[in-house]
Amino acid sequence: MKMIIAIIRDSDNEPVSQALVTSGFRVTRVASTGGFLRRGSSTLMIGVEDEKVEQAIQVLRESTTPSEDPGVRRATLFVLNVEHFSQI
Amino acid sequence: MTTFHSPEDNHQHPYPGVSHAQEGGLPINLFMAVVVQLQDERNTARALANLGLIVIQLPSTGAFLGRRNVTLLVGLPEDRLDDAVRVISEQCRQRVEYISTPLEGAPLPIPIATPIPVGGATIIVIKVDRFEEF
Repeated sequence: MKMIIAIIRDSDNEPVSQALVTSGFRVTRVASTGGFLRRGSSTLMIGVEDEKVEQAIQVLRESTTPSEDPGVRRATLFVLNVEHFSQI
Repeated sequence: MTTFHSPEDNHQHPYPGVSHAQEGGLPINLFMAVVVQLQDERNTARALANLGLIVIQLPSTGAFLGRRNVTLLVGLPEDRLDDAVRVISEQCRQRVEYISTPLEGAPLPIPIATPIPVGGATIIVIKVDRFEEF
């Protein structure tokens, strides 16, 4: 099990969350600020099976809208190892 | 890369974390969650960004007083950890706050000020399996 922490633009939150949920991923959104965008950003926490990490990143890649300025990042992802996962 | 910028020239790098992390070419392999007091957030985030790290702020609450604080999410290469911890400890000071508690044994509720030390910062570091930007 892995946790993907994805920092995306606020405007991308809706389509990205939608796309992830449609692909069967569970998403938790936290409002955040700063970093690569001085404005508000969205931080998504996505728990995924090890073998689905690639697919999840692919979904993120496809659902973020391309930016006009190639220097500006659309998303920053951290994939962290999850020691224990349970849903109750 | 480790040179310190004064806060004034911070505006030259609208996206400091990203540009620096890439220039350096160092792999981001640590993920750090730092809980800081509201008052320290600005300076700490700026100092970390000036180190060339990726910094994201989340509003949070917690600790003994249940105060609002800020959780900073930081992505950094392994060999920057010491620098980052040093910068955080420089910016986040421990303070004494006073809360009002009723004086015990008094016939009327007389509030007295009780000093409570409020912590500097809480740092949690997690290994990153994989880091990506697009």
